[in-house]
Amino acid sequence: MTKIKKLQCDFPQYKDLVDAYIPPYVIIPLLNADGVLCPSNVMDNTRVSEGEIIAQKTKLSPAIHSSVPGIVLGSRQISIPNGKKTNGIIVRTDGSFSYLGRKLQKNDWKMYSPADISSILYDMGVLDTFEKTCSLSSKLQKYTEKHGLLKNSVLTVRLFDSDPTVRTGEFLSSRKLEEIIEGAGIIAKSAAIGTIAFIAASDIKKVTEKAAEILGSTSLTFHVFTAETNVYPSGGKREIKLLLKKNKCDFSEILPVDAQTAFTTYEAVVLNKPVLEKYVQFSGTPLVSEKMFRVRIGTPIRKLVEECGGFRQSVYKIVTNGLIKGTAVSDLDTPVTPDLQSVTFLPKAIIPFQKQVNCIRCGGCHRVCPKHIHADKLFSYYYFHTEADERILKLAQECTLCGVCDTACPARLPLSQTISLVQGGLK
Amino acid sequence: MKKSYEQLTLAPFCYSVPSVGQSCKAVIILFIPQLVMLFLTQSIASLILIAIAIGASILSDITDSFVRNRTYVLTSSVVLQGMLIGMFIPSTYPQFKAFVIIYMTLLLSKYAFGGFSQAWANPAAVSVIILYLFGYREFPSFLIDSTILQGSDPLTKLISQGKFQLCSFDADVTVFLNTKIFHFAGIVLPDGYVSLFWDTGNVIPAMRFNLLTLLATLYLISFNLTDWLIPFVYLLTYSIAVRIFGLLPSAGLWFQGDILIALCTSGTFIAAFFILPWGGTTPMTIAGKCIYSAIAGVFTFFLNGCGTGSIGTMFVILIMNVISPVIQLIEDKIYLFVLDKKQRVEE
Repeated sequence: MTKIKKLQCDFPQYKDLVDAYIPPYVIIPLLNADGVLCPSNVMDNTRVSEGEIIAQKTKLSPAIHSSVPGIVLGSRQISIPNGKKTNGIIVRTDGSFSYLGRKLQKNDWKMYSPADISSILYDMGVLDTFEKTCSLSSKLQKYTEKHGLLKNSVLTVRLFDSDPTVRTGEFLSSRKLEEIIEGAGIIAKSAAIGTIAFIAASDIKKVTEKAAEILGSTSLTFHVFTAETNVYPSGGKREIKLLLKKNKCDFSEILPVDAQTAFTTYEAVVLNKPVLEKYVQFSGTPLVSEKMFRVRIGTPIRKLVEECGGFRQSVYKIVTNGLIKGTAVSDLDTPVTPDLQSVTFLPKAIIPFQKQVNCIRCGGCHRVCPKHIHADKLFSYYYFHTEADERILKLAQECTLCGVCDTACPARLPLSQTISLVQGGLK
Repeated sequence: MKKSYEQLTLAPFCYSVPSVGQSCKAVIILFIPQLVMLFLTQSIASLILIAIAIGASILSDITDSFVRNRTYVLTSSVVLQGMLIGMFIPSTYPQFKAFVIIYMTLLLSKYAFGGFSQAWANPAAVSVIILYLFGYREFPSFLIDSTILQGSDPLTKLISQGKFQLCSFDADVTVFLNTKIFHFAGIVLPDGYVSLFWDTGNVIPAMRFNLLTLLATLYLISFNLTDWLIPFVYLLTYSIAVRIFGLLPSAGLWFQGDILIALCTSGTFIAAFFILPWGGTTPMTIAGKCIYSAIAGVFTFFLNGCGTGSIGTMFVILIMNVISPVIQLIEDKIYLFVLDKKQRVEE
């Protein structure tokens, strides 16, 4: 683990939420939550309504919705925030909104069966963004198949972001706590879990009060814990397990989700609203002002940069989803996708030296790894075919790919990426 | 901006430690005041030798790239390596001979082990040792002998015997320090210590400007640009050994050794901060690093004694380069033992 104050970067704070302008057009990627390219259901020049399903592989797969009402202009290849390229549908905004500005009727989720909830989550395109992005329904299905009969399991809700350079989860938790708690209740019901543990960065009194108020009328029990967020990693599955153990809550299995997932679950199940918007952090010294946006899916980040007042200095890199595990994107027309949490603009002056040299055997990666994995040995095993002890290779399977070894490497070796390759090669 | 958009890089985009390149560049920049001082003190021969060493280091790197059919890119570590070698060459050393020896040593080292941080032996230390073996007469011999170590004030004896030259302002600054600063602590600084820190006048540049070296290391440690553990333990062990046993063999006195002379007259600071922790040659755990540097400190005491040795530190580094793989082997064994134990507990 490493102290986050040691990381050479800024940690922005946000007070206000900015509702981004509705863009004149949106580009909606046809890649669903499970990473599957879906065929488009709509023809060019046809009209779509806000929230209409425009692509879905099968009925039991996550749906993709139009985030604005309008006219389909066509499709083209686009870059998406995870660095990949895929097809996207361009919708020109036109017509009246079905959800925006309307008072939405609340459904009583306690009446729904787990199967009903699962079906709603598919239809509404709800994602789990805790670690690797996937559809929440698929995650719940896999979980119940594997651990469904386990009584001693817990749903954990992380109320902050795992990457300390991202504040979206923490911001959302401070603004939409009731909805997140209710969303957690829905997920717990769907996965047949009786206990929820909220993992907060601070202010556990407020979380405890709200959780007692909302979950009091249900059969669910809850706990609230404070995580040690001044170190990295602190929000991964392993760290949460350790936190529970430290607090003498010994559960046989945990189902972890984050605040964003619980919030979109609430919107999908209670308000019957598909995933149309996203909370996204825009930060970086080149921006005239840093902002936390609520923005329509498919909005090109160029439009949001304009809302930040543009750039006051030239940008050298655009990084999505945090500076530790994020991706550099190459196009300002990259649209906002449901898995986007943050966009950071870096000027040349603060770009870290990333030139790779030979391992200098400093032992930094050994010291910071929470699992005590020798990342340098795995690197030379993979690239230089040196011998590695079987026990070291076995331990590599336990790596959560938090990337803390990468941050502590003065030789700038891609250690966590290599461990992921080693894991793939051994499976 | 458009240009940068064409380049994609791997995460992370923030680090908790500076890169090797950044550290090397910082060290090179912080050595510039020492080069300026060499110029101001008209030590042109030393400056030429440093330039020759840097040139030989770069040329050996170019040759190595050419032989391996790689595109050549100049790196700061190559320049630093040359600079460190140059700092340990006596100003009287024949320049052409120095160039050939450094070039051949570094080239053979690269050919045998690979590039930066691949060699088990420190290329800078090996180069200086080979320079010594081929020209030991140019390296100054020990100034401190058993007659000087008969009493507890060796520096005064060195000055009185004319073996150590004082700076022109030494007496004035000493008086100022004694009356204005040390007076309150009841300490009296003898003559000569100001010169010891400012400029020892040695023919080897690494043994001259100790104050500048200390200020540079202070900056590097403050900004996390260099490892402090190895130099700290090394200097501490050597200092303790000198203090306790320094005058024991010749005068039979315990706890009377002069630490400052020992540290300031053998290039100990530069060796401790820039050569001993050289990438690829040290153990990897904190305990291993402590043991490594403590052993180095003890060896330095045996080879350099109470100071003024011109080559002992380099031999210590070479000895430690031999011992380091053994420490690393023990580290690996302990790691695997702990891993085994952990896996058994989990099972």
